[in-house]
Order: sequence, then C-alpha cells, then structure tokens
Amino acid sequence: MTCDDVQAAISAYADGEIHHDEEGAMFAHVAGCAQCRTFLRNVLDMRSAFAAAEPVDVPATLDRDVLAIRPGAAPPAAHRRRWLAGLWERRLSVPLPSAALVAIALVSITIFSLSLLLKPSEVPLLTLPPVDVYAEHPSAPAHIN
Amino acid sequence: MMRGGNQKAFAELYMRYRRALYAFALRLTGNPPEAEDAVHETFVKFARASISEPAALKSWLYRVARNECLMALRGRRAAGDADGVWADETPLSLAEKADTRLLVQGALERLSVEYREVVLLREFEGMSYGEIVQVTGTSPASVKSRLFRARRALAGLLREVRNEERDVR
Repeated sequence: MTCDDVQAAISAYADGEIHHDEEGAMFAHVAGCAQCRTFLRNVLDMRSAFAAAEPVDVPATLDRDVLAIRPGAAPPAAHRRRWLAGLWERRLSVPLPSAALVAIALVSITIFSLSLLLKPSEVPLLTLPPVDVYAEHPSAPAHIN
Repeated sequence: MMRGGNQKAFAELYMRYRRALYAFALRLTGNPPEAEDAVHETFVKFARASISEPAALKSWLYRVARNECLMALRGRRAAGDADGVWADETPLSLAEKADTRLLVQGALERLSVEYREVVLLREFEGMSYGEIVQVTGTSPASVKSRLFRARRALAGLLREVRNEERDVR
C-alpha cells in the first residue's frame, strides 16, 4: 500500500467504513510511517474539533414561519411572496441587455399595432360649419360681417 | 405522508429536525438568511409532499435542504471551483488561530461546497456513506474520495500550523 492508499484507508477507518482486510495492512503501514501516523492523529483531532463545535440556535422567525404552514394547503401569503422573490432572483433572472431588447421589442410592437388601428383615413375629421353660421351668431366679431 | 393535513405530526417532525437541518444549512451556506430560507422551503415542500417510507424521511429532508442551499450558493456564484478542495486560496489566514477547534472549523468554511457538504453530513450529522449517497446523489466511491481529499486538505493545514508553531519555539 502507498501512503495515499493508507491515508484513504485511515479516512474510511475514521468513518467506520473500512474493509476488515484493509485494516490490518493499514495499521502495519502506520506503525512504520511517521507521515501516515501524523495523518491519523490529525484526522482524530479534526473529529474532536468538529465534536466540540458550538451548537447553533434556530431563529425564532423560522419557527414561526414553518409552524404556520398547513400541511396539504397552499403556503400562506407571506411564504408566497418569499417564494416569488426567490423565483425572480434565482430562476427568472435574465441578462440586462436581453431584458432591454425584449422591452424595446414590446414597445415597438405596441406602437406599430396602434398605428395600424388608427389609420389617418379612418380618423374622423373635425368638420367646421360654413362661415356664415358664425357670422349670424350674436357673439361673432364685427369684421366677419 | 403529510397529505390530509396532520398539523400535529408536521409540527413534531419540524421540532425533531429543525436544529440539525438549520445548522447543516448554515454551515453549508455560511449565510443565516439563506439557511433560514432553505429550511423554510424544505418544510414548505415537505407539507405538500407524499413520502411513503418514513425511513427515507431524513434523507429526503437533507436532500431538499441541500438542494436549496446549492441554489442559493449558485445564485451568488460562491459555489467555488469544482476541481479544487478549497473554495478560494488556501486559508493561510486561519493559521493564526492557535486553537485547533477554531482552525478546523474555520477551514471547513473555506472548503469547496462539494467537499464541505460531505464533511458536514459525516462529521456533524453522523451519516453513513450510504446515507450521504442518498442525500447528495453521488456514488459511495465519490463520497469516500471527497471525504479523504477534504481531510487531507484539512490535515495539511493542521500540519503546517503545527510546524510553524514548532519553528517559532
């Protein structure tokens, strides 16, 4: 076994996942190899360091939000908002240039469609009555007469 | 399992797993709001899920929480280099932490996510290789290899620090 093989076996040994036939060869190598003995010691030290990790406190807001969930029902409104916010951030985000192009295309299509709908010939023209109608009106200026 | 709306069973399950799942998500993302969001989304999905085998529940919860964390990490592009053990440069800055516990835990935060997740599941959650496979969807050989590489990187760091300490003395 090389040192790499032995150190891989040490890692599996620390996890209780080593094969019995490997274990004997591993310890035989470790007995005569300072480098692999150091590795074994470090793996065991790491295990102690992880075991001594500070416990983590769960935020009260998480308890409140999860315990408000009704199994089988749609998520409450607050969760839906968060879900939508996450969806926007994570899955529907598109590069800014692409978004700008889509927006410009939509505006152009709208303007073009409106111009087709409101052709000049179809726009009702304001028709003025003949000038004599104004002239006969009591408030008409004198120069019209 | 949850269909039909068993509120009491749901609350009991949440209380059983909340601390471990939140700690896992927090150590994986390194970000409390993202960890909270990941656990919340896990239980939103669980409330709507139909899990026929209670034995598979633990793996299911960790798998969903893990996927939520990975999405958050990808979202801020902090997933790290898939080929390297360290997420960025080797954490030499941690060498000043004389306390082995702080050194190892600090170094763990700097591991690439694919290495960090297997160390967390093994060392903090006490999962077997088979259970880690269920959560991560990788092969047993990959789990074994990642744990070994992560430990070798962490052990290398410990060795460097101890050598430096010896040189100083």
